[in-house]
Amino acid sequence: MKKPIINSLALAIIVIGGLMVYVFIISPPIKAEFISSWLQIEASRKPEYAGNEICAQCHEDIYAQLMSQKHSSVPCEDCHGPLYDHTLDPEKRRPIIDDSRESCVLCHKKIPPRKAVGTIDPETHAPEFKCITCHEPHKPWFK
Amino acid sequence: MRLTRRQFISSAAVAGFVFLGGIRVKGESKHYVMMIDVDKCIGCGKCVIACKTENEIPMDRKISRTWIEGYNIKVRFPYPESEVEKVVLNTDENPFQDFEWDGDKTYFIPKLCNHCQNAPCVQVCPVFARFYTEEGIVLVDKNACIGCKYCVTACPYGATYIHPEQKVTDKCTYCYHRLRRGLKPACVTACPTKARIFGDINDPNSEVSRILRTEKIYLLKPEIGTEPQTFYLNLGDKTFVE
Repeated sequence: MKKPIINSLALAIIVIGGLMVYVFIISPPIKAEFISSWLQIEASRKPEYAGNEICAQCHEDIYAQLMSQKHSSVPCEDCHGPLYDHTLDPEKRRPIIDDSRESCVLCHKKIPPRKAVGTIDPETHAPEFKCITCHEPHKPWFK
Repeated sequence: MRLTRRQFISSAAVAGFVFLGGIRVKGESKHYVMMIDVDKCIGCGKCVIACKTENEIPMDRKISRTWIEGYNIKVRFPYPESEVEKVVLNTDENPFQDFEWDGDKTYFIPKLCNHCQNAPCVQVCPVFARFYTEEGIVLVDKNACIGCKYCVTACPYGATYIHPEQKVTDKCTYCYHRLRRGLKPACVTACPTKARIFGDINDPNSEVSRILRTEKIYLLKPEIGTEPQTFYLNLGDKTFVE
């Protein structure tokens, strides 16, 4: 009758003891140099998105056009894909040009919680045309 | 191994400090915060795509460092008995487009790690893998993390999870590698309506400190005392935030 209790107690002590040994002896202790080494690993990762300011350094004309009207807050990389590699080597990574209706509708479909942008109903708003037929994305109102 | 009295006292002090508060590297330099304007969010999901691309989270898995919650509320009186439906966007497919928004109140709430200054995840970590940087960011040392998931259950915002490939916990880092290069976090860079505002709160001329001085700021779950560093604007009447 007594044995199972002793056995389970021993098992519990082994498990907890093992955990303690791992946590306090085997696992690396906390030192400032461990954290700074992780900070270096974390900081050395390569970005994917460059940001509008970097795009503007080469593509001044289209950037000035974009900034002059309602799409001024839209980042280049939302439509053209992540382009940090393109800033390092323009030939290696080419921007995406996505002119499908779906990519416009992602922001401009009329749904009730969407209040900050102009919206349309894609079922009735010229369903057989591409959006770029009438609206130029860098200067959407009007072509 | 014998310890001298000086070594014993200093190591005990360090251990006590670690147990009580976690490791906190303090500095007078910068303190980054994010502000999210709930009224400006249009639920396009560009921030989620940017975050997952930037940080190599599998795009098709339903986990993300940042995500958008869409609320559809049919108001009843008394108010807490209203019917609340929540839709979550955390992959590159947008569930908001085809959702039937038939409620009286509808809104989007983008969420991410709040980088609490009194973070439960840092307190519970048994191997001290989580720590505060001098910029006020909570980071995970993935070399030290053992994947025990204490932090996953401790986080009141559901912002931490197990990375399916690395098998350790993963969370928002405010894109630490981008900040070091002088860039803004990927979600802020990708937001087309400037619903996410990011900056240094110690700099009196930055946009965030101007907003902090002049506008109403809301926190998620302020009553539990985690001191979140992600501030919400225009959240006022939106009672239902889980």
